[in-house]
Amino acid sequence: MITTILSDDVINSTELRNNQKRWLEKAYVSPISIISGAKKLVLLNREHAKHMYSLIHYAEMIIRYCEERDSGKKGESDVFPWIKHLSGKAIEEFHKELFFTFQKAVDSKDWLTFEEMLNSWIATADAMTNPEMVELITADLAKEEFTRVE
Amino acid sequence: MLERWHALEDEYSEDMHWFKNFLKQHPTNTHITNGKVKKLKGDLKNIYQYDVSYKDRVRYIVDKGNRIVKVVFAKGHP
Repeated sequence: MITTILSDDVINSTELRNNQKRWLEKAYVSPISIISGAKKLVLLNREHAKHMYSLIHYAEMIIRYCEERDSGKKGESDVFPWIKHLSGKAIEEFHKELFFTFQKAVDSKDWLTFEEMLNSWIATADAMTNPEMVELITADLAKEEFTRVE
Repeated sequence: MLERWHALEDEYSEDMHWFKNFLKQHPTNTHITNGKVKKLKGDLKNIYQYDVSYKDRVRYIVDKGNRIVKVVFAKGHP
């Protein structure tokens, strides 16, 4: 089976110098490899590079988390140490959302939503360390008294 | 709770002024807050959190039907 991972034009540094505008315009759409002696470099759109780096960063994170889960560690994690403050049910919810949102980010290249999801879970775990917040889970807020503030 | 709310208003008057306007206009629109307001998840899924500062938080729920915001936690971290 042959899988093409990178499809690019390959040029040398002289060609880049001679037709700079053309290659820069082309690199905006698809990668251009530049051979300069023994050095091999790539020119590519910064947004594409950002997507690739984000994907690698979060994929590595998720793989390490999966390895932790497979090794039987439940309710604790070195990758996401804050999950120890979540209930078992919440951890399963986080696990599902982690994969769902990751897949969406891979497809849409929108990593902001993925980061927001992680930050919301971190904030939740943080809030769960406060006894006042834990009490709220079982409290009937309809019966609580609130003071009106304008 | 009310005392702690007022203490936040005294300490962070500009931020709290912005936050009160946010609550009046669109308390669930977390996307426009640059990460300062988050919707919590799991067991706290109906609660929103505003990070007033690195150490202070306001957490609230929104009763959309009655157009009421109920602050359930103010000041202090976590």
